[in-house]
Amino acid sequence: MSRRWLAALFCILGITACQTNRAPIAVSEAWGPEVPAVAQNGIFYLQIRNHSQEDDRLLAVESPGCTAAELHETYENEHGLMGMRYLADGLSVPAGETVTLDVGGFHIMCLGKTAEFRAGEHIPLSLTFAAAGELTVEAVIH
Amino acid sequence: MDSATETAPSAVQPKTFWQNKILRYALLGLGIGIGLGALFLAIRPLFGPTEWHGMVIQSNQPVTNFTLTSSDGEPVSLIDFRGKVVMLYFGYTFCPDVCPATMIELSDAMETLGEQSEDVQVVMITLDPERDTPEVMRNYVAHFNESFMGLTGTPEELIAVTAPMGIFYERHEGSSASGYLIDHTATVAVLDKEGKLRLVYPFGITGAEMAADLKYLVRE
Ligand SMILES: [Cu+2]
Repeated sequence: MSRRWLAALFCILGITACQTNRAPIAVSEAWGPEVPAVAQNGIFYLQIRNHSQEDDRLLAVESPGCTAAELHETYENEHGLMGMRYLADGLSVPAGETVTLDVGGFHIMCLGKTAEFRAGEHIPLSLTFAAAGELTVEAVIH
Repeated sequence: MDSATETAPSAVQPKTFWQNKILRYALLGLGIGIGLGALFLAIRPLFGPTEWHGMVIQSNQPVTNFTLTSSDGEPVSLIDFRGKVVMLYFGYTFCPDVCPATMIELSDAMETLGEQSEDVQVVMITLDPERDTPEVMRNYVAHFNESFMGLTGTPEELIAVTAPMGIFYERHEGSSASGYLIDHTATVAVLDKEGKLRLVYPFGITGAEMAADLKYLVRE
């Protein structure tokens, strides 16, 4: 329940912020699941909303909590195997649309995690967009 | 004295009542109906749920036994789990999306089952023995549930285990930062207490859905 309220709160904050600042890109609900300490990698999910009239593209992600952060897409191939691929060309965020990164789809892969992916931790993420430039958010681990 | 005078006239009435054939059969039918209904409700759980959540598999024989390496480095065989419902998941700890998401659902299923989870053994088998040593597997699965077991094996052993179960996987190169990645069947296989393959869950199955099926399987 509290997670839903928190998400709702973030949503409201995100919308208010974008209406007053007229920021072309709003990133909200950045989060990551808890990950076993022994696992090499972590993962982040979030929502990107393009309020502008122009198509944009998320090109790169960096985080002090990761040795390298990559934009990935989870897919299922024609033989029913699931895997993930690196999005070398970034992720398209068309004008007026919302792109959601979520379990089993697009994600930010945190390769060689250096931060602890424990509930309650906040891990900063810096996102680089082709048009909107750089944007920093904090992912909440829960 | 009072009771005698009361029973006398009422003893006559049932006689005429039972002489009415239609009523007699109607009552008999109703009685049989109620009886069957009660019997059905009583034995209903023995037949399993009205609808299973995974793909239902009809198996006449137990899955071919295999022996892999436990997280303590000791050999573990599938037949060691006979008498328990076994849930097999094949994945790798380097995977941060599909594999942990499935492990969380499996952990939820165990919590939902409560005491009945003692009759269920969740086993994660790595498809990446190069990165996943027995120790890595132990720490990885314990994060999700203390009772979970993590198994490793040689590449040859793993192929021998996976192929008959319809589990396939292949390596492909990722970026320079990630190194190789593994595409794999991300299903959960459910074996009953006799070791027969009964259900296969697709990726995305929830803990609640699995628990609903497991409730029946643990009672068999
Ligand atoms: Cu990935």
